[in-house]
This record gives sequence, structure tokens and C-alpha cells, in this order.
Amino acid sequence: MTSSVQKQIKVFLLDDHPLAVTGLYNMLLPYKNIKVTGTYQTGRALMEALSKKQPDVLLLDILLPDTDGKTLAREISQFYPSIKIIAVTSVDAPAYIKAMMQSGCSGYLLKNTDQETLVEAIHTVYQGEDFIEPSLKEQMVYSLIKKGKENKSEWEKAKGPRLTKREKDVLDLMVKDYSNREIADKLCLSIRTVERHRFNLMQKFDAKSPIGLLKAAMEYGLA
Amino acid sequence: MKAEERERSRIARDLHDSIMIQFSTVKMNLSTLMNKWEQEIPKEQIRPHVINLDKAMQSLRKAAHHLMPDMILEGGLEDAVSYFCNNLQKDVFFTINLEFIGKIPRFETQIELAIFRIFQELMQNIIKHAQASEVYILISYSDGQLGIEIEDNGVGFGEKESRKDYKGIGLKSIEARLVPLGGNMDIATGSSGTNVCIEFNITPVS
Repeated sequence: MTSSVQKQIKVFLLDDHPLAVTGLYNMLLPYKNIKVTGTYQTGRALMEALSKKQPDVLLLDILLPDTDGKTLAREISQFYPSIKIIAVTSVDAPAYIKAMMQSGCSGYLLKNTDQETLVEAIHTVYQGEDFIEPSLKEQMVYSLIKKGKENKSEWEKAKGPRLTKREKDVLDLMVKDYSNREIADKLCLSIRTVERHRFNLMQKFDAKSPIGLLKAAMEYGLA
Repeated sequence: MKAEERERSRIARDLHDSIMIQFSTVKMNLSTLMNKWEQEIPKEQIRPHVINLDKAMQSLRKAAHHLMPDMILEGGLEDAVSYFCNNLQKDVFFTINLEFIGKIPRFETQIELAIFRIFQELMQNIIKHAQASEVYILISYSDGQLGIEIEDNGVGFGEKESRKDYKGIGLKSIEARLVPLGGNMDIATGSSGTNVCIEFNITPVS
């Protein structure tokens, strides 16, 4: 082995579709410091190969016929923790990205990624950092923001919580001192449904009791 | 129902695994050619085609995902609905406001899938018929009850006649599918919009 070879990043490809393997292979061909040292089409073939030699980086398709990518990633990162795994897929759902990263992947790329991004991803994970396809980051952040309960919209701050028509109906009748049963009869709903609307109203106004709810609703001019 | 979902998954896999890959390969080769023949063909001439190809692939991916909820449901209904709405927002003219009350727990996969399909169909109805500028979705869970309220400010179903027709098209099939799930539907419609509220008495898993 010459010293120049030592610096080469060894890469395995796993994809059940031969065209995809060839495509990735060709994309990496011009880069002298990256060498594809193994290509596989099934999870089993890959695991067999790994018992003999290990790459630095594994490009892993996560939709496979014989096993699912999540299980495979977990197994590989458990048995061969030094291998950096990049999931290569066309699934862009934030929950799935999270699940793959939690299963031991260091990178997440889309199948229509370009050459530069692919190479950057390989270098980044090789150096021990995580890499997520840039176009997916926006969606990840968005899904996190959506979940933050603290992020009240301007609309909410000014006008109070947004209410549905049904919630307004229930609130109006609560103001008139109707019981749950009476509200249910009047609106042709079940008592359970009325209870759910009431529960949601209390949550929206941060109220602990029906009186607190009515007070808060009045402050916003909603009751 | 199960067979239908299996068939959808199969189509989705086909889209992903063969057509998508073929597109990817064409794109990879085009990019490689672009670098190789830089002198002969200016990059500017090829780039628009690569961009168009990219767009086609994005549409394809979106189509496949509609068919492949097992991936999207990885994080439960809350994630699936958020993901669906985030994507939909890019394609529709109305504003989507999405709110969750209470932590939405996990349910049996088949049930989550069935509920997600119903939700998608209700959203389709709005896209097709409502002419709304705003849609508000409220999903809540408490005490064994899951509620999904979808409210739009569109044209409503209008006259009783057309309401009947409307019910004939989509809502009847939704109503039928709600029964085995222990669900029911309440609809309020008028000239200022429509409020569809579905709810389920449902037990979370573990």
C-alpha cells in the first residue's frame, strides 16, 4: 500500500437497483480520494461482506427487499461502529429522517442529490460530523417550529386563540349557562363531543375552570 | 382495505425504485456529460433541462409519498398530518393553519392509516370544491377521544340539493369507513364555509 492510498475514503454502496448502484458509482468515479470498494444489492450480501472487510462510509438505500433500512442501520452501527452510514433515499418525511439518524446514520441524502452534495456528504461524515441534504433542512426546521407550543402566532396574540365554528357555538351556549346535556341537544351532538370541545376551549384559553374560560374569552371579546 | 393499501405500497415502490432511479441515472449522466463536454456545449444550455428533470422528480416523489403512508406514519398521525400539510401548502392558494391540542398518542398502524386516509380525503374535498382562502385544522386528543376538525371559509355545500349530491360523492364513503373505526362525523355548512368534525373513541397502543 502506498501512502496516497491510505488517505482514500473507502465506500460501500447498497441499493437493490443496479442502475442506482451504477449511477452512484459513476458520480464518485472522478474523485481520486474516494474509492468505491464494494457494491451490494441485498442486506444479506452486505452483511456477509462486512464480516470480511469494512468501508469508511456506507451509502445505504433504505427501501430494500430483504430487510428494512432502519434495522440494517441499527445492526451495522452496533457491530461496526466505525462505519459512517449515509441513508440514500427518496423519502423526505421529517419523521423518517429522524428515525434513520436515531438508528445510527450520520447522513441523509435524497436519491436525486447532485454530485457535489454527495461528495460533500461523504467527506463530512468521514470527518465525524452529521450531514443532512440541504433541501431537507428547511422542512426539518419547519416541523420543529410547528411543534413548539410557545410559538403563538401574531393573530393569536391580538385576537386570542383561533376558534372553530363548533367551538364558538359551544362557548356561546356556555355563556348562557347551558349544561353539557343541553348544549348537546341544542347542537345535535353527543355529550362526549361537547366535552371534547369544552376541553379544547379550556386548553386554548389556558383556563383551569369553566369560569376561568369564560373570563378569558370575554377579555378577548369572544364571549 | 388491507389489500388496497398493499397495492398502493406496491405502486409506490415501483415509482420509487424503478422510475425514480431511472430519472436519477439520467440526471447523473447529464451532469457528468455537462462536465465532460464543457468546451463543446455551454453548461447554460444543459442546466435548464437538469432543473426540469429535478422538478419532475420532485413531483414523482410527492406522488409516491401519497401512496406510501407507512413511511410517513413513522412518527404517528401528528407527524404525518404536519408533513402532509407542509407539502400541500406549497401547492395550494389557501392558507393552512394546523393546531394540535394534547399529545396525540400512537394508535394501531392500520387505524392510523385509515384515519390518515380519511383526513387526506377531506382535504381533497376542500381543494376540489370549497374555493376557500383559509383552512383551519384542529386535532386534539383527550380521555380516549381523538377529534379532527377541519374548517374552511369557502362556499359551503349551498342548497340542500347540492348538499345531497356532495354527500353522494365523497362524504358517504367516509361515513361508512368511520363506523368500523368507532368514529362519527358532524358537518356544519353554510355560505361562510364548512366545518367537518370527525371523532373517534379510540385506545392508544402501549
